[in-house]
Amino acid sequence: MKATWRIIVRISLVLVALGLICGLVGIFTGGSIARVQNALNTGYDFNSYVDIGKKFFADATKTAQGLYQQVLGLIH
Amino acid sequence: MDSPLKLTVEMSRAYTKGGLEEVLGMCDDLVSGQWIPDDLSETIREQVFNAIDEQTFSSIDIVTGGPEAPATENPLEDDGLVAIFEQDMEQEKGSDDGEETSEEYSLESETPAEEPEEAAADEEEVQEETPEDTADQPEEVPAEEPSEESSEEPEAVAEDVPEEAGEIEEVVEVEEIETPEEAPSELAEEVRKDAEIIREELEDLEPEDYPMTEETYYKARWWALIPYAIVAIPLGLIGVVICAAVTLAILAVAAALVAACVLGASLALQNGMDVLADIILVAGAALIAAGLALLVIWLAVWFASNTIGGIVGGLYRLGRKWCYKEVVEK
Repeated sequence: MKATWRIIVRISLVLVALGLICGLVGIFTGGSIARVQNALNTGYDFNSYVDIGKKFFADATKTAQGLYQQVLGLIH
Repeated sequence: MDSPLKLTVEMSRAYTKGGLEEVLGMCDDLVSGQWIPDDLSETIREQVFNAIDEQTFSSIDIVTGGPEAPATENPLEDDGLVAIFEQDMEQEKGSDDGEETSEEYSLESETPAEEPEEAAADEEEVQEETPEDTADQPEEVPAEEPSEESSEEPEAVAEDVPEEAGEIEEVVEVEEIETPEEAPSELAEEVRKDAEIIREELEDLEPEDYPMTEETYYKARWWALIPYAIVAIPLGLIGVVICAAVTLAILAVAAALVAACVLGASLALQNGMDVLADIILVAGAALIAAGLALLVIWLAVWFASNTIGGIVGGLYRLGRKWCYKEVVEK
């Protein structure tokens, strides 16, 4: 298990380091986060995704609360 | 116990417990009658008696440093145990190849030493003839060998044996005579090496090849098992459900990171961003997301295996400890 942890952490560190290098290179070569955000908003409807996510977690919370109340009812 | 291999297994176990001295003491007890395995057949016992002769006793005394060790003038007598181990190995090979015979096995340990001059003269000739002659001899199982030969005088045995077998023994003796200055410590080292080889081969055997002397099984205590099941199963289920929920939450985070990685990669590669610097920036973000996703996925797997597996395994072990009794049957 420890060996697997070591391998996973090393791979992740390599990926994160590469990502940081790419990000820094992109910024230093004239990249703009605002342009990326514009491209994302143009290509994808993020607000709808956020709404879907919010609805999903709200439903999950309600289900968990319902299960909890049922378990409490069974115990009492 | 109808096989020499099983007796060898017993000796291997003794070697694992107490080393070479334990095995030699076992041989000593076996021949002297102090230790007789319950199901040791007469045939095997006779074979062991034939194999472990006076030469072996002198080797035992030398290795163990016994005070009653006889002073052997002939250095050949010191190699009796080594010869037995070598015979065992050769016999095992012979059973596979069909080249070795049981007659060799008995003759090599029983034929008395002859003059080295004659043996040296015949050495080259015998070395050429040995493989063919031994291949011609019929293969026999050692258990079928008549035991009368062991009680005969050595001279009579020497007259009865075929010439080829006598020459084989001479070759062995000549090789031993060439190194008469071998110290007992070297002999002991050789015996240890041979015993180690045999032990390694025995470790490769399947467990069903030799019977276990003890059998362990568990007997249920029903008066404890039923209340334990009533309490432990609901508690275990609640714990498993909680751990599963936490694991799912971690996996949801991991899924979000994977989605971000895929989104960034698709945006950088397909969606047609005009500026290369922006593409590199998005690719960097995707790589960071991929690294974090890998870490979080493994965290979820590790958490699930440790918590859920720990709860189930712990309840199982606790139940076996409290509700089952270990019974050892010989």
